[in-house]
Amino acid sequence: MVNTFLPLVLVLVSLGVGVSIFFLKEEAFKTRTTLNLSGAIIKLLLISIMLWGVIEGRHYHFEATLVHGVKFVLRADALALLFGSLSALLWLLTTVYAIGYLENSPNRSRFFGFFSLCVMSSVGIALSGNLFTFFIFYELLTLTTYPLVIHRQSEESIKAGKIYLLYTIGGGVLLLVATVWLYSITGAMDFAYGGYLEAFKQTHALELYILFFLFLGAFGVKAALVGLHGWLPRAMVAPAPVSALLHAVAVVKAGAFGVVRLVYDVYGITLSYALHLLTPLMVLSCATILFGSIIALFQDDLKKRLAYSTVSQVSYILLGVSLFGPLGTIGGLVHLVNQGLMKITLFFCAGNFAETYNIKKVSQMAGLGAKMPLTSFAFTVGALGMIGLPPLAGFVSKWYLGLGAIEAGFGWVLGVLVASSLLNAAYFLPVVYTLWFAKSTESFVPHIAFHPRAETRLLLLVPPLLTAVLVVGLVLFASHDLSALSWVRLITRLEYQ
Amino acid sequence: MVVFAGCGVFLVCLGLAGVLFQEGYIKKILALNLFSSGIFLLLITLGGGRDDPVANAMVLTGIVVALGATALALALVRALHVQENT
Amino acid sequence: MSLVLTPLYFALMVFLWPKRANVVALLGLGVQFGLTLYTAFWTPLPRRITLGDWGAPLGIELWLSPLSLLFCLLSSAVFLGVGLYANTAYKNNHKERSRFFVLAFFLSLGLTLLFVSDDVFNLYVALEIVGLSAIGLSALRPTKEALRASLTYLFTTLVGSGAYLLGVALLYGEYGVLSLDLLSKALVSSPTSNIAFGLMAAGLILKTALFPLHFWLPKAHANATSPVSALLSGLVIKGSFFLLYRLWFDGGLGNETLGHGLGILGGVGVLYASVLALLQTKLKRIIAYSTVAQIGYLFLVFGLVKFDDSLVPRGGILLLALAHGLAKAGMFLAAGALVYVHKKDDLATLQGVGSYAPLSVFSFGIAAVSIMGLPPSLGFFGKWLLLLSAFEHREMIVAGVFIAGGVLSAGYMFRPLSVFFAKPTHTLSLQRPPLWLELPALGLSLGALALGFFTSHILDYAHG
Repeated sequence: MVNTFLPLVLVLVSLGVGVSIFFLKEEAFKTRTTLNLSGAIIKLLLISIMLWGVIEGRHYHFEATLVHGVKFVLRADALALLFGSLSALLWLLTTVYAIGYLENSPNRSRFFGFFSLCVMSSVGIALSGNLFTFFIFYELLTLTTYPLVIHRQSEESIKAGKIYLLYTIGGGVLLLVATVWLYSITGAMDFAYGGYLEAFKQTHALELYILFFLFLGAFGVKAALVGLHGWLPRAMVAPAPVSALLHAVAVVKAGAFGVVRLVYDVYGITLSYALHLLTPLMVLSCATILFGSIIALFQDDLKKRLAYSTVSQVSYILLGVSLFGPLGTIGGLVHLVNQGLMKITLFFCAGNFAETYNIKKVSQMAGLGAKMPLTSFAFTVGALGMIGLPPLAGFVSKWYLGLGAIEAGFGWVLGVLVASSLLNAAYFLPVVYTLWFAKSTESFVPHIAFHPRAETRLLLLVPPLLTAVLVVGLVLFASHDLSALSWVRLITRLEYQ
Repeated sequence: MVVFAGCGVFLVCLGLAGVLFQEGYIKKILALNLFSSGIFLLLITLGGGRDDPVANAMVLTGIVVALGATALALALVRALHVQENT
Repeated sequence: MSLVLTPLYFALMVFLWPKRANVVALLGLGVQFGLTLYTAFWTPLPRRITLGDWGAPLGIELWLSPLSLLFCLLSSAVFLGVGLYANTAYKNNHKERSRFFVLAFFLSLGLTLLFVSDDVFNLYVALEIVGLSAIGLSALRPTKEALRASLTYLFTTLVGSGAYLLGVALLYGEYGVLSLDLLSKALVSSPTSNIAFGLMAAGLILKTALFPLHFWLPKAHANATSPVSALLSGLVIKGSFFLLYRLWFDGGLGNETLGHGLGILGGVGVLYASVLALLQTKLKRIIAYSTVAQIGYLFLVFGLVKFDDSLVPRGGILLLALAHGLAKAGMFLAAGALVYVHKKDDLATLQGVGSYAPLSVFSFGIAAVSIMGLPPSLGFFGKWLLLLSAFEHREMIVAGVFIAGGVLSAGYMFRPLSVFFAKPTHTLSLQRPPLWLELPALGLSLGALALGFFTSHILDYAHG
């Protein structure tokens, strides 16, 4: 019984929390916070239970036929748990952060209501067992993140929201077309390790080829592939917890996750290779990697710089996917985890700078390190990880990606990796330098109230520190069985059979 | 019988043209009635003939409906007239 | 049979008792809904009822099929919601309220008759009852624009019924029977029956507002008061479409060329109306053009069945029709609540209203989800089935129409939503709409969303 309903319960928990929060009055701070946090903690618990169960050999599978033989399937396979655990953990931290960030802001009930619904969609995406279910939650994600993007209701927010919708609804339409088309060829089929399209290679090769690019377009919008990334920098107008969410956990990762599922569990890595689908993906991801980094160099607004960095970094995951061979896969998948942690740290810190002292531009950050040492420290850790310095998490992913490139026979990709690391250094190191070593030009006047001896509100300080610790910890404990790396190795083994 | 059918078709076409092209609501209503009358004629001739009870029943019903519709139309036109002149 | 007579009874009651109209009316609507539920689920279906023991061809027969009952359910549910809304919306004007309910009951009578009749002439009578009640309703509040729109509607609908009747004449002349059941058995493809059906189809598509015969709809639906618009867009349109569907599939009167033609018109209608919806500045006009677009989708089924004989496209159409009925009614009611407070429905006036009427905007949003065909609404599943059928048979143009239509509908639905969510301009009234004005909209819209989860149940019921 437990094996059937646990996935469904996981999804419904956030739905229940979200709907309840909508009905709370603005002033019901305690109730809302309790609901929020307990929801997040319950999620984390449930996912851990499933994780433990899967290690013990149990299967978690929920399905319901919605129409005409098309099934709604929730399944806890290895990939699902990887993405799901990351989501659950980061959601908890973001919830804490958001509570601190939005203290005394208007419309909190509305915000947290949609926030929880976003979690639901995200977890649903993680646990989806077939394309149909994936599509449902993918669209739900669009619908639930839109209100968060326009939360501030300023003219800029509304405009950003419109652009966001334009891109994501377009992507959703592509996904619908591609899914229906594929279903019309194969009939309703679930994700499977190694893919399930091999049988159709002979008869439908051309259609499979076209379909791949339709899917890629659909997922690429959320994953911010070059050309489809336009919504991301504009969405920075949303409050910091939303940016942290959109760029570390929910939307961007959902897109990347979609591509991962596509290549490994729908097409299968061997078929993808045989149909020559991997090379275009590789080229696109390399282009995005370089593009994002170059544009980031010219941004003075910190959040925009981080946004373009995200554009670049998410494509590392796609690069890993496109490199045929276990090493590339490991690199891409482990970067899913790493980039999430590092980026969320950076966004938390950026939010702290903006919220505490109204510092939004890099040029204003001179000497801020002295005023906010802990936050700046967390930021530094994140930034160095992004560049790829050992022993930080980013290093592990780049290492594997490099090895994977060589293994797949694409030496030039190494060049791209090196170049992008240099670019990363070029746009991150100056920020770090400015923080710690530049002479302060502004007088820092606090904009919010906090304990006089701390550097900012406690709730804003703890999450980035925790994630920074994880960034380091991930590598130190990489060899442990429960680490992300080992889990990713397990997944790779399963996909390459 | 062909004469009746021909008349019917003629009335239908005339009425339709009237509804479409005549200016002024009263004229349109008249045209509509011509249109209906043509249909009734055709109903009887093409239907069972004038001894067929079913066809007669249909035409009678139709006439009543047309009566109601005309009344409604006239009421609406009058109301519009009132509205336009206040 | 009581299904048909109940509304008549209550219409008389309301007429005789105008002061207490609301109580009587709501009672009646509730009774109707309950009765429909009972008939749909607790009586054996399908079955034939003969009135007064006079069998065909002279007598009147009713045919209660699961499909008819589904539409009766849709009808009674929407009437209930609209009735609750009208109860509050007209509470300051007793005369208007009683007039509304009398006409509404007659409309309900006509629609029910339409859904359960089995002979073509009875169906004509039903069409006329529906048409005349609808005209009366659209002119309920006699503004100049409403009256003009009603007169246009009157002429088009009567010409449409006339064409239909002419078709009936031809069929009767050729086959001597009026019962659909007998007709379907006796039917042969001949010039007469083709012309007859062509006429009937022409009349019905005029009444259903298929492009390019849709010209009367936007003005009529937008200028009527909101509960009337809800009824017109949600139900009246479905009535004539249902009839066409019945004639085609149960009567066996369809043919390939016509199907192809209808499909093409439907597709063009979707695109044309959707683009126009994007360009409107008044909320109710946007919703009205959206109706024309959605109607276009419904007509695609006639084109699709050429290739796909299975129940997939028909199931999809059924779901789309039900979803649209609920969602569009909900949407008009939500819009009505907003207009009730602000008196105008220009998008510019309604900016920022999301902060003051969150419930109505929420209902509007939920209804929009179904109209756009986003999961997990009923509208999505309808779209899914139709897309699946299109792809399975490589009908790429049809698929393309769906895609384009979907994108455009997202455009014209999010435009007002963005306006609602923006910061209010200083001239905005701070008043919230009355609760009972907002709840029916919420109920109907949630219905469109929630029924998505029951898709397979609905389809099984319809085809079982």
